[in-house]
Amino acid sequence: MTGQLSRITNLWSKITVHSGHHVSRVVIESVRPLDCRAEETSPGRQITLTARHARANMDCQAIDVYDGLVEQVEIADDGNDQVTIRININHAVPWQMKSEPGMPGRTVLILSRAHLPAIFQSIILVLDPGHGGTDSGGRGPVDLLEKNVVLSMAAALEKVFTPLNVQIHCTRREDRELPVRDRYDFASRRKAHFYIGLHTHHSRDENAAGLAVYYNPAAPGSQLLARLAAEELVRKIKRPFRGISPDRQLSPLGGIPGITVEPVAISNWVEEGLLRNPTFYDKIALGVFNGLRRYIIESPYGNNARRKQKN
Amino acid sequence: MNITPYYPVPIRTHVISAEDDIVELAGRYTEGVAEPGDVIALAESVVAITQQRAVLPQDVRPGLLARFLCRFPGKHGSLATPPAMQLAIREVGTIRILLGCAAAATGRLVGKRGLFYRVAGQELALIDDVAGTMWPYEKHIILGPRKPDQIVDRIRRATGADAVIADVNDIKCVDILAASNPESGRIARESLRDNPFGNDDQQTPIVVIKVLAETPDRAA
Ligand SMILES: [Zn+2]
Repeated sequence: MTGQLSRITNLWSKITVHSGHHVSRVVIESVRPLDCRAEETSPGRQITLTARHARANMDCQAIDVYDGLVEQVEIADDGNDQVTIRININHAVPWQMKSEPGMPGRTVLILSRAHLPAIFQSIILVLDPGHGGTDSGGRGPVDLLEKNVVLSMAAALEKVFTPLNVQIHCTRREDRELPVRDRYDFASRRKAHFYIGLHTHHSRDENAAGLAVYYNPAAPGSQLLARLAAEELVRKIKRPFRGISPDRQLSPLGGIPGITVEPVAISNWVEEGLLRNPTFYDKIALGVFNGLRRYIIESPYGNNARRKQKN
Repeated sequence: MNITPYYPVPIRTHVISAEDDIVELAGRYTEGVAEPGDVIALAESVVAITQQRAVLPQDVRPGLLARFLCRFPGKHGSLATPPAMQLAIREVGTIRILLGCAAAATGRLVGKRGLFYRVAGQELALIDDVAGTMWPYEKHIILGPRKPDQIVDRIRRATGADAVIADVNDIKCVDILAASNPESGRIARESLRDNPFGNDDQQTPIVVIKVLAETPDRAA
């Protein structure tokens, strides 16, 4: 009888702290508790939850998570009153399933993020929010200023990287003028492993929109870092891609792999609107984080940075 | 725990478009969840989208008047961009907009707020200017829904549950545009304060407010 079935109504995911550890929580909400079994169907890649006597009332499109561990969650109503939920992950991690009664009831998959600090251990990261003081940078059609939104980007990045034992240094945290030369000197003095400049695009053409990443042509690896950061940012913020290109202005960074990220064009109506939304900054931060995580794991240069640290 | 017997259950939907029929959607997504006595709450913007009332700013040609007037509303509110102001003019006519502006200017002198919308039309307060919410509609200006009363009645007849159309903003302000009965309006006002519609990509524009006599642990 359909009246007895669990109805799956919603599915979402969040990074939280669970008994003092950072975890990714994947939450499945249902009316009536789920009769659910979980198994790691592909070690380090996929965990599958099978719910019996259940139907999906919610939409069954795959959900993009990309939080650095959980990539996507797929849900399928198999008919025969069975629903399958596949959680795609990028690393083998300890996990557990819990159920939390209530209305709606919650079936929660808790995945440990404890491996992430090890990847980023002792990394020194310089964040450089552009402009400041009398130099406002770009200006939105309504009222936002580039010099302010880039500070919010830096704050969001700091929130993501700090729990991972990354040493973060910001060139500025307040609204003040800072010559370009000083910014690169700052990165050199701090012995940065990575430099990330934060800007927005701005243009007279109000239709210009989307993401671009520039890189330091003097440092091997910068181009790859730019490509990975761009790839991951596009997944998170879903904006048009304006490409990656070398920026000679970054050359004074010398051997420090450095990129300048322009997630959106502040001069565009829509994108200025996006910059009013606090969660948009979290997406930018996770995109950059994912790019840097992949760079450190996948690239020979990234491994060098780590090895240099360990010696 | 929850002190009221009301339990909002958000339902994740597909990206709703002008192709969708809102009554059919409400029935399909709440099947087996909403029962008589429960309240189906719909986000105002989604109802408007199914009525083809989501407009791309680049499809609007703002006139000089709109370009001039959009400088006055609070910058973070609606109507702060020329296209949004142009749509407001299209909705209620130039004369009411100008009267509204005159009222607002007078109000400012005597320290009274909100006179613009009172004179030009409360429905204009429902225009969501490009606000960076709800992909893929973050690019759109969304006007208020048409005939909300008829829609909630049709949903009640189709599902047996009560229905409301609501606008919830991030400062916990719940505005009920239509309710199939006054009691369901009251229930919705009380239960939607934490905005279970969510924002961004949470994509839960339909919320079933379960009205339970017992705590859910036992009820389940
Ligand atoms: Zn800039």
